Amino acid sequence: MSVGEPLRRIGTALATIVAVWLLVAALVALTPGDPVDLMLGEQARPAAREALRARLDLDSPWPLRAVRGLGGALTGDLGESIWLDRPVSALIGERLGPTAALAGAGFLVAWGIALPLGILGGWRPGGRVDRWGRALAILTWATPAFALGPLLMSLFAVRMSWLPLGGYASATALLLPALTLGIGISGPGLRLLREGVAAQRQGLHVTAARARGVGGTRLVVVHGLRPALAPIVQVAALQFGALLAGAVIVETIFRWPGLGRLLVQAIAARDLPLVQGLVLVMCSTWVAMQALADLLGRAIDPRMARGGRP
Amino acid sequence: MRAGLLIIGLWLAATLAAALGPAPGVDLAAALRPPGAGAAFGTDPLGRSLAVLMAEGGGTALLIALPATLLAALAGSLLGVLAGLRGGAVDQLIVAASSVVLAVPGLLLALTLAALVGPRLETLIAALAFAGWPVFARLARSRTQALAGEAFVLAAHAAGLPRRRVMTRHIAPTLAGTLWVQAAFTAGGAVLAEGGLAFLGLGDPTRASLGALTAEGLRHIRTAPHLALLPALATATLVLAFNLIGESLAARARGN
Repeated sequence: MSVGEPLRRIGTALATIVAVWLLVAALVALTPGDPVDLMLGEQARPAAREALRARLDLDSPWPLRAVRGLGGALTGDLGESIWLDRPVSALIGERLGPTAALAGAGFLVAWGIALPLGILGGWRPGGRVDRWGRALAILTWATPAFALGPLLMSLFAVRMSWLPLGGYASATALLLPALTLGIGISGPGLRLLREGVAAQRQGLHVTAARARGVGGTRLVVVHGLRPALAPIVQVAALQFGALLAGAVIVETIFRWPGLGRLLVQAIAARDLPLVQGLVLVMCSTWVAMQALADLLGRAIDPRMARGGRP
Repeated sequence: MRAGLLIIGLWLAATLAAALGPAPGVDLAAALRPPGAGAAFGTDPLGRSLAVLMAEGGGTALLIALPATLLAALAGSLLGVLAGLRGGAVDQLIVAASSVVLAVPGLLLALTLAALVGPRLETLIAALAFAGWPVFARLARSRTQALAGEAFVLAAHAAGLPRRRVMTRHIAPTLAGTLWVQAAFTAGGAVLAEGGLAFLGLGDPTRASLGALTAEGLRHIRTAPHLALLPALATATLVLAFNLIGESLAARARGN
């Protein structure tokens, strides 16, 4: 891998983030209706309306505002929340930790399901593990987070009272949200892993390794799994988007104080600067993950760097 | 395939029956009845039959998901074919636009749009279509590029057919298989997104929705968990139906 390639990928990612900002700014500016009406209601006093107009810089044309906002965003200044009257970046900073914890735990749950079922299923296609694994993947993919969450909640928090209904008070409070999020996104990874391992299993390199006397776990992991991993890293990155979107719903179900719940509250409070800042931060994280996955995929499988198929 | 179509058929029948029957009236004396006699799924806190509300909610989901998918598929594949055939600046512009939209998770985009414009039926359809077109554009573009080198397309060009005719008569029909598969999965995703938005309070407030019913039921999760669970799991059956159709279309396209 040359030095130029990672740099170019990072450049594309930055350009995408800037474009996302402009897209959101354009959506805010071009949707019909006065943002002041949206935020204060049409009966607001003229003085309050004027103050908000000045604060949001609404009298300058929107491209200028978008560019100014972008300049601020790049230096970490995302403006002020109207609803909470505090800097958007500070509010996001406070909620970053809970969302990162939830996303990380959800990710672990997802791959804790996908790795064993995908590898074992792919190694014995059509076997019992494979059939159950594939059925699970199809079912979980179709089940919305707002179904899985209440289901787990009523089983483990209400009926058995093992776990709290929601909130952020204890470490066990993380368990149900993480399970909801993780089970929900485990399907695509499981299926891709299964396909990958099933394809590798028939490869000449596996036969050769077997002939050399390699067997058992080493054969499955080193020869069956590793070549199947590069596309998996890409799917894991794409999953991150589903993870972020899922977090919005899961955090709302379990009253988890993260970015997603803040976004829903900001929308309910019609707090445009906060909504814009949150969307930007969430999208940037995803774009960064995708760039990272691209680079990691090239490192795992050098054929991808030449534009070939893994 | 059959199972998927059957489930969707049942939903349509239920929706139709609910639309033709009397509107579920508020009757506080009958509030929060358990499932059983009178109302198959029990009643909600206002005494309305949950089964009827769910049938209406399924109708709303289809009313939003199907047009949104259709719009996304039409706009996306048109742009994709255009990008694939033209190449150059047009191609670059369409690819760039699709990657920017793809950089925003679909639900976030729909959430933002619904919040800005106000959650109405048309807004939700437009928002989901806007979030959905890039996938179709990407698919159509790469398939078009692959097809552009095929003998029958080269022959059509060599025969002097106008570009538009090559596009509509030669390329589009070969693309259709791939796009139908994607359309089935997009429709499933749109049902999920509609439910999610309604769950978050951003659905069309004038219509029953499975997501909104779940959010409402969640308040009674201790005493009447079926109020949240039934509409939520019902959403899953609808999504599953579209995904099963997608699976079998994909298997058919692979040739088995």
